[in-house]
This record gives sequence, structure tokens and C-alpha cells, in this order.
Amino acid sequence: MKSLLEKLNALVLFALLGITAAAVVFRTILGIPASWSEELGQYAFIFLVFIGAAAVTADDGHIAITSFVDRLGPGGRRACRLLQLALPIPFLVVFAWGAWSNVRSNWGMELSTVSWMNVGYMYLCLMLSAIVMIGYLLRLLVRAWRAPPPPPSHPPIEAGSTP
Amino acid sequence: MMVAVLTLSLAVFLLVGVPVAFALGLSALASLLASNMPFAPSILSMRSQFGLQNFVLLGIPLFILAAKLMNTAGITHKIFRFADTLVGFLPGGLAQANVVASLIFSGMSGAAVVDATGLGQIEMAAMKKAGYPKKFSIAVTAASSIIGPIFPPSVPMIVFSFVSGVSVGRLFLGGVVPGLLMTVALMVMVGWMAKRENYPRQAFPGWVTAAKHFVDAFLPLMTPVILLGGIWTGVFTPTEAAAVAVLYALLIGIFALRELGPRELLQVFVEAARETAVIGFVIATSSLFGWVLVRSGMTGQIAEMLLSITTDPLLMMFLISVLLLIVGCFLDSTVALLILTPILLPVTMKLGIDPVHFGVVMVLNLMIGLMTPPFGMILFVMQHISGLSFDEVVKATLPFLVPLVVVLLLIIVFPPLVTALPDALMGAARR
Repeated sequence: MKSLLEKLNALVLFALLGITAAAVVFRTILGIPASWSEELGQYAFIFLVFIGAAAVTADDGHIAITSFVDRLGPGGRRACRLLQLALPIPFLVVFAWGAWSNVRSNWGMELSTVSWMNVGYMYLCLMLSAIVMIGYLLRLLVRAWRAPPPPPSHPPIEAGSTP
Repeated sequence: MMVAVLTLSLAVFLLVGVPVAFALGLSALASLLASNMPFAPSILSMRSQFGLQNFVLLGIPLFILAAKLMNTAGITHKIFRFADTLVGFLPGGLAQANVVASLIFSGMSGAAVVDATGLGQIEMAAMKKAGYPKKFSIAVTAASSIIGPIFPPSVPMIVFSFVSGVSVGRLFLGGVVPGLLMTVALMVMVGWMAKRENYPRQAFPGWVTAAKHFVDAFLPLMTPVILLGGIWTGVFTPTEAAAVAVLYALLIGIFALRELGPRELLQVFVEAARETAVIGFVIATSSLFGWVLVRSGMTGQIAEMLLSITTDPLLMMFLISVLLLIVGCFLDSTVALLILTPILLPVTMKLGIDPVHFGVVMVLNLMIGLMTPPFGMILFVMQHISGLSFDEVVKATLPFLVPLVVVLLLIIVFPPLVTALPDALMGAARR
């Protein structure tokens, strides 16, 4: 599942590159303004973020500040680990619920410059992403419940490493 | 009530290690539920996706992708060899080359960690082979990687532009002189330490070899020229420049160097998409958080409090810098930019401080935070690469904070160091 999400997201990134590059070609070489590229590019970016966020949740790769938790004893670290995995779930449940309501109200609403792109598709992606994240968090939570206290950690190098 | 729930819950969630993106969303949700305002669950996804609907942000995945392609295609090797030819004869030769190579690489990358993990590993291996102490190599590599997000292009400046509405092109141009100043300051520091410790220097390889190294590095060296030239002449926007950088890196990697095959390309796209998602998800939930923050009235209260301390622009910049240096020790720079820009920018605007000047100062402050404990991302990268303990890495890099802070003070006191270039090339009018 995670590998599938990552490959799908690589494809979305490739599409985003194509859309942005096409805008330059259309405007500077063909002399045609490509107003569709901006809107479609923004939607591709939203897909990229939410599909990717679901994949990153699979291995707990989101940016977190662990400097305080790392100074705690084994019991404290274990309690914090369980909280780290459990607390986002209620937020994601409300998020998915709200996204579903947005899917229903925006289904059939086309983008102003791209008629085949439906605003409802975007909210559907958000809803599915939240559901997948809930699934991954529950799996991690069960594993953390059964496992011994985690060792002190520092932020993952790749996750959030860009600045 | 709303303000108290928002700030206290965020502090608690961050303290127990809840991922930042979720902590921002959770505290926004808690604050909305605690307020008297009518609440609809649909607002969470609506505000989150709205935060991502900005064409400027498309530059983030594309600049990350361009830098990763350059690393994978072996372009970094050529850059380092060229830099060594250029300045290797100075005291502390390879360390000087390390700094210059970072400046060149920063013209095609916009991120410190991409520099440290890609180019940094090559630099450190070469310095180890030449007999430099590991701690010195780490310190130079860490400090020089900070040039990446200051000299254009720059991912943090894209984030600042997104939050503030300041032109990315102006911010990019505003980072040119500070980036060059950082290079000079670090080279002076390296030269001084090299003389004191008697570190080796290379002999000049001769003009024929130098010319060969220049030709090898010529195509990558053209990247910043194409990017800044294209933005300046208006051929493409900064976001489109990112796509041009990717296409250029692909052309060099596939056809000129023949280092990029389908497998490498897939890997690079997967990694770039992943890093984008991590940052993008924080942007999405911080957009929701920012919306609640503004509705709570907290931004206005903080602005009033700061303005009651001083109304002198220079003092205010120092005050904000101290705050940002402290914040940078604990908070991720993207998160700090997203949360603090809407609070601090109105204050500086009220005092007549140029938003481009403020943006570059803010980014440099937070980038220095990447090198300070306990949450300095570059320190963790260096620890990971070197195998040294975190404390050893911190001690080694500490002296190199001095030249970076000196540059920070210089650009605070002399704003034209930042604003003169964008004003000269793009006119004085600002968004």
C-alpha cells in the first residue's frame, strides 16, 4: 500500500512538472497564455501533499519535536509515544467527516479552466488520505502498545529535512 | 478563552512529540470547539486545501527535485572539483573549496539539508582523505550548507512569500548579497583557523587542468544564470523557473553525463514527492491554524505588545532577531515561518521596514537555528553522516556560528545589502 502510494505520488509530481513546464512553452514559444496550467498545477500540488502525507504516516515520518520526550525515562517515553499516535486520530476523524461533506457539496463542480477536473475529486482525495492515515496510526498504535519503551530519537533526516 | 486553548494545547501537543502538522490541526480544532463560534467539520478540509492553493508553492517540489537530480547525476562532484581548483591554494584549501562549492550548489538548490547530505558527504570524504580533522570538516560543511537557503533559489523564501505575499523574485534577489557575504565570512573564518592549526593547502593544478575542470562544471554552473536571468527578464516566473531547473538537470543528467536511468529517476521522484508532502502537510494544517489564530485576535495583541516595547525599526529588528534565534533552536524553520510571519510582518510593516529586508533577515535567523541545539536539523544530519555524538557535533560547529551572526547583524544594520539588488533590477515598487 505504502509503495503504491509513493509511486502514485511520483507520477503526480511528474504531472506537476509537465503542467508547469507546459505553461512556459505555451506562453514563451507558442505565444498562447495557458491559464489552465496554474489551476491544474495547484490541484496537482494538493494531491501530491495529501497522497504523500498518507504514505509518510505509514512509517511515522512527519516532522515532530522530540527534544523534550528524549529526556524522559522509559515510562514517560512510552506514554508520550502512545499519545503521539492516538491524539491525531480524533482530528483526522473530524477532518474526514468534513471532507466527505465537501465531496457531496462539490461533486460535479468543474474547475473554471479545466472542465474535466471536478472539485469533488480533490475533496475525495483529502477524505481518503485522512482515512488511510487513521488506518496507519491505528496499526502503529497497536504495535507501540505491544512493544517495549522506544529509545530516545531525533528527527528523521529525510522527513522535513528540506530547509 | 480561544487564545488560551489555541496556545496551550499547541504547546502541550508539541511537547509530547505529536507531529507538528497534526498538532497544528488538533489545537485549531480544540480552539474552535471551545469558542462560541458555530462549527462545521467541513471547515477543516476547506481551510487546509485552501492553504495549498497558491501557485508560488509549486516551486517547493520542483526545486527539491532539481537539487536531488543534480546530486544523483554526479554534478556535485564536478562542482566540488571546480571549486577546489578555484580556491584550493588558499589556507585550508579543501575547506575553502567546501564553502565555495556550497555557494555554487546553492544556485541550483534551495535547501540546506540537500546540500549537507549530497555535496556535504563528498566534501567530507575528500577532507578526511587529505587529513583534516573530522570535527573541522563537519563544522565547515554544516555552516556552508546554510548558504543554500539564502542564495537563490530558496525553499524557505518561497514559504515566506506564500505567507506574506511578498514577491518571490524580489526575495530571491534580496538573498544574493547576504549569500555572498556569508561565503566571504566563512572563508575568512576557515583561513584563520587553517593558519592557526596549520591545515594543508593544495598547489594550483595549472591553467590547462583548471580550464578542463571549468568546462566539466560549465553546464551546472549555468543553472543559476538561467534561473535568475529568466526571472529577471520576465521570461518565466520563479515557480516556472523551478520547472526549467528540473528540465535542465534532467537534460544534463540523462544526455550530457548519462548518469540518470529509469531506476534513479523513479527513486529521485519518490524522495522529492515524500519531502514535499512532509512540508506541504504542515503548510496545509498551519493554514487552518493561521485562520483560527487571526479569528482569535491574538496576532493583533502580540503586535500591540511588541510595538509597546519599541517603535524604533532597528531595535525592533534586533528584538525580533533575538526572538527568532531562540525560536529557531526549538521549532522547525518551515513551521516557524508559517506561524510567526503573519504575527511579525504587520509589526515591521507598521514601522516602515521593507518586507523583502524583513523576509531575508527572518529566513537567515531561522537558518542559523538549523545549526543550534536542541533541534538543529543540520546538526542531526552531521551526526548521522559522521557517527560522532550530538554533543561533539554541537561543540565543533559552535565557532562557525560567529561569522553567520556577523552577517546577520550586517544585513540588519544595513538594509540596502538586501534591498539594493531587487530595487535596482525590478524597480522600487513592492507588492
